[in-house]
Amino acid sequence: MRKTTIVLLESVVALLLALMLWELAVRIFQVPLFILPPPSAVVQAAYASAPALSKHLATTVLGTSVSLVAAALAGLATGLLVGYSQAASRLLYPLLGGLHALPMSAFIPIFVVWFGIGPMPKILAGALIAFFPVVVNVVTGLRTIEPELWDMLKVSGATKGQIYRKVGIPRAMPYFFASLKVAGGGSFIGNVVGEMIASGSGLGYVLIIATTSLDMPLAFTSLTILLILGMFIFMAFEVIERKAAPWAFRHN
Amino acid sequence: MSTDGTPLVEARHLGLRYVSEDKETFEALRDVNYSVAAGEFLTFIGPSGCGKTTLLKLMSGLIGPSSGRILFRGKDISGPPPGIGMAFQDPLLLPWRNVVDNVLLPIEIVRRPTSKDRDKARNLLASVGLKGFERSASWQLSGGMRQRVSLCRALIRDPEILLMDEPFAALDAFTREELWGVLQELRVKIQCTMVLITHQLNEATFLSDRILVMSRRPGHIIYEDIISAPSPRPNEYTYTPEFIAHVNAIRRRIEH
Repeated sequence: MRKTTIVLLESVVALLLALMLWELAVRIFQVPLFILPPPSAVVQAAYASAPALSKHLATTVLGTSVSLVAAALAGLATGLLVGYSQAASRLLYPLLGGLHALPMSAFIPIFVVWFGIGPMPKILAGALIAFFPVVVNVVTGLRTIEPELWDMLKVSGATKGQIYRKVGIPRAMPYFFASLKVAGGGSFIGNVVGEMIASGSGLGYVLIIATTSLDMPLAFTSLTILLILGMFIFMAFEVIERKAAPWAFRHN
Repeated sequence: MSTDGTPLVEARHLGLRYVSEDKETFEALRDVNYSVAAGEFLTFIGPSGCGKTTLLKLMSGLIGPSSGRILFRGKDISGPPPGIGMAFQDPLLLPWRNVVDNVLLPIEIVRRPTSKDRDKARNLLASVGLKGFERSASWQLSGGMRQRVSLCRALIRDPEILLMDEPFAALDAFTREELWGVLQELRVKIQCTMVLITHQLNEATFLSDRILVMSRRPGHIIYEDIISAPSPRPNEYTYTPEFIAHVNAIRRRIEH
């Protein structure tokens, strides 16, 4: 934990330095407010619209959480199925790969047609983006069962199901938790883009409203909150990952 | 040890061909004949790629022969026969389990481990010098200790035959000699038939009652050497002229 604190302090110092440089640059070169606001203006805007922003923040956090939980559960189930069954692997894996190559945001207009403006399109978009990394990681984890260990267990009379339960699934867990870091970011992106395109609330919506009215301090405020939120999601899952499978981090 | 009655394992004109993905067949084993007597320590030695591991897979019933027969207690092997323990070069311990739970893994395949099973695992661990490490995480152990755990896991279900595929190949020389000692002690204690695969001449000569030398692919048996010195053997045995004569005799066969 002490090491984490030092790393955290270092990043805070680096961030403060960057902000100071930014503030100075804007003042020295007299950049107009509607092009690039200084951090002080961003802080002012954040303070002024704090109550409204917190409501939008809650919307984004809730949507992201729902997307992530859905993607984690569906991804884990699909990953276990694809990793376990060769038939499922042949059938689903190429399809999943193709699906992943599509820009998920392109689905949002279609989701709007299906479900209307509201939380559903963005939650689905977030879940879709988050789903694939979970599947790939779980499948990879299951495929790390060493052939000799497989042989040894077979000779002990183990069924395929037993081998997956005793070895495959525990071995896939660090991969699963690692994938949640990526999936958390994916859910977040899907939700924010969804809010920008087809929603009446959330930080993505604030960002769009602010930029269309050239309220750059507010736009930067929502961007900053998004940045902090993204960092928080990533770090939270890093902690969860270490707690959930400590044996996979033995070298640290 | 006793060598009465039918051999534990018997191979008659055993052959194995693999078909690779690009439809090329290659012959791993050709006309292999041998038998393993109950209680003996038999070693297969040969250059890499001579089909030693294939031989082990046939003995454990993981694959079937392309030609000839392989018998366990006089019956053709179809699928893994009961009573086989296995150990490999990689100890393959599960890092999320402690030492004793790793040893109990083969038990869990057939039933929920009882307190008797746990006692047995502890006793086995104590007999390989791992008393007090039962609750350690497997990754906290040294390579030699991990291999000891792997041996205990292979023995937890009282196998009739212990198959070992280069179990000491990844260890340093001192640890390897230590484990030779451990294996000999285990053998005295549990009287299990042991089959070892190795490419280490010293190891084969020191541990075995009998050594079968295999040729390059397609593997077949080209030489048999019987080491009659009584077991367990002291480390000093490796410096005797008799030992060196055996090693040299085997080496000549492998080189030609």
